Amino acid sequence: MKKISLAAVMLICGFSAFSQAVKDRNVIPVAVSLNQVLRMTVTNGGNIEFVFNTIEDYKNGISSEAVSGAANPATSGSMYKTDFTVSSSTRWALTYGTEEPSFLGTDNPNTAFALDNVGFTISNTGLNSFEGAALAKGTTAGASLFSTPTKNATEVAALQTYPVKLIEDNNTVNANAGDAADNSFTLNWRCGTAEQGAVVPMNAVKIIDQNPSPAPDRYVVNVLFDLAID
Amino acid sequence: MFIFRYFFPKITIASVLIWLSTSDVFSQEWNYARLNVLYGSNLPFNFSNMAKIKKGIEVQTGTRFGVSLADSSRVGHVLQGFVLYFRAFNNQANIKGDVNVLPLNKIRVKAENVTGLESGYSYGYQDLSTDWLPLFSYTNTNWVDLNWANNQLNISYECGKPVSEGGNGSLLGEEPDFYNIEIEFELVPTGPGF
Repeated sequence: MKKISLAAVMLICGFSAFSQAVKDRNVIPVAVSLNQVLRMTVTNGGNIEFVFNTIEDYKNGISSEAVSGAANPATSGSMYKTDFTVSSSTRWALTYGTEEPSFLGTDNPNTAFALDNVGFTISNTGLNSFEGAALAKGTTAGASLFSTPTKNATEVAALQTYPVKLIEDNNTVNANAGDAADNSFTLNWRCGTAEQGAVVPMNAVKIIDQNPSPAPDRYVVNVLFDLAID
Repeated sequence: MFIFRYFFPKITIASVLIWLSTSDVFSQEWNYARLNVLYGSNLPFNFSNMAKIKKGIEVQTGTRFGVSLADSSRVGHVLQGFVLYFRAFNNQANIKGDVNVLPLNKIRVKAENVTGLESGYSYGYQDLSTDWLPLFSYTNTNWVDLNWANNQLNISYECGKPVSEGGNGSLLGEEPDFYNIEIEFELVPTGPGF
């Protein structure tokens, strides 16, 4: 009897095996290759030269921004602007600074001209936006850019020696990664305007009032820009 | 004699079980669902420039499946259609690179009729996840068996589409790496009894 019962149970199990729905599966491997894109392009103003040849220039300085009331309007203009773009597939940081701690005279290399006589502001012409002026990094969710020297592109910063982090990622969900349309900037250079930013102020004394007076010469320095993954 | 009397019933039962299991194997021939990969068994996304990274990549003709589905004619089981599901293989939680990971939903998948399944329903692009999600369903109450040559589905893939274009965000800001994921598709017959 036991054996008959066992056989019956097995028979039922056998039929249930028939009733199982037959399915089929397939597996497709998918690969995603992310290649690094990291490029900075200076599109305009790769060489800036301030020429002081009037007393008004010495008194008020020269600026790229017409709105700068400190500069001599007669000689200021857009020729003192540097336009550049950044294309990056990842969060990026732009470090900048001069090769030397001061401008060096061309005619007489022993003469120097202080870096802080030259300053700049950043104009953001791209789609990515800067964090609020007085806000800490990562405060505004939609803002993806952060700039300490220019107080997030709101004030003038004096020129500094390399390396100084000029623009970096704001550490929010929106990365500062993007193409040239997202990351497009203008550096608005000025010299001798004595504008006082809160973070990196320019020389507060106009060139005409400096003591000792800078020796007449052609002063030059290279400004390096280094784009890297942030 | 004692040995024969003792083992005969067991041998009988074992024989019955062997016969049942053997007939089960034979029955597969007439009760089957098959998903044949006609092409696209391996799909690479190569993000090699900013435009692709920013806008994402869509592969509209990624994989072609042939669907074979036959009624077993078993009492109590009436085959009336199927549903095609998909998920990350083995419930893998993310798209793994050598060092970094991407969220599964950066990849989206869609199934559409190519031939013979015109009355079916496509669920459109669906996010890849660890759960089985339907991609395509087909129902025919007047069932006619399907075969891979005449009944085919196209699988489209997209990766890194921005939110503005219906995706789950571009891959801008993601770390460079070689990411891999296996996507599992399952063909499930439907109808009373299934």
